[in-house]
Amino acid sequence: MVHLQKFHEKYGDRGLFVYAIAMHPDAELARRRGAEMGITYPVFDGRGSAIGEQYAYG
Amino acid sequence: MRARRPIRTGLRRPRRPNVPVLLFASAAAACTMAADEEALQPDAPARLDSFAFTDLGGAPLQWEAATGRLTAPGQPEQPDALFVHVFQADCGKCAELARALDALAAGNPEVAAAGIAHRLGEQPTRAFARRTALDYPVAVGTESDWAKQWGRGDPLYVVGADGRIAYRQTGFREEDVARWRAVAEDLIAGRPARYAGARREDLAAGDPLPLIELPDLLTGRPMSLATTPEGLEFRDASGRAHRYRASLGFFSRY
Repeated sequence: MVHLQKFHEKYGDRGLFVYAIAMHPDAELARRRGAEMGITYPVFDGRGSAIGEQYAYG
Repeated sequence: MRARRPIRTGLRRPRRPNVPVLLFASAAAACTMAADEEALQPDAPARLDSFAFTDLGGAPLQWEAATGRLTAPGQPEQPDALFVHVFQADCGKCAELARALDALAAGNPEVAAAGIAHRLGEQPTRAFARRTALDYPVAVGTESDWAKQWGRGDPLYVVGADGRIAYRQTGFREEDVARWRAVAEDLIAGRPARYAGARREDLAAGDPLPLIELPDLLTGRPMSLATTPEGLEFRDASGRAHRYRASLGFFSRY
């Protein structure tokens, strides 16, 4: 997430959209960790989502 | 010759929500989704390095690659199949995998299992082991050279009695357990493992970006990312549309 933040800062206003889909079951923890890491790009809440079910496995 | 027991596959707990790790870059191109099987990379080391840790109970958790000898509480000394899960204590998928591995290993004398944390310290690792009620030994390997070398992606390795890595996977899906069982049965029988990794459905270069319509994690309001004739369109939590030429996204464990 931190590395992508650097991409977001460097290329975000040049046409690159950086985002994350948060999959942790504890959304509050996910929010807290994102804040701690200084994430400013959009984070979707992917818990229970079909796209998460299909592609998120790690 | 030891009697062979069938490998148990039953999961002892219900399915949990999914967690992360797929990374995809997207572009407004067209193609189909790819089903792929993760295999050992040609340049991947064929043998797992020896390790020597202390488990959470203070007992040695050691494996000698040259001899295949395991020193671990409650585990066979010369397992035909050694499952080593290198994990992080706050990773949801790691917990799912650990529970499934514990169920498979329990009661199978030819199969050994060990967990080694490659990130976070003793307290969260103890909490992980308690939460998942693991019978197999767990050690904290955080900051060790071994964990740095072998922990990337929270992998599960299955190593045969000859010390060679027969199978490797990252992430977890319930269907993976059938492959573990098959690999263990092959190794116990002295056959080459029929699988080298887990089956995954990934996006590949050229695939279209799936429509993403999900709530904003911070506000709960809907957001979307879609491919349109004009390019990628992100609609933020306030409803404003933004156009982009490319996107870089990933499933986060947090």
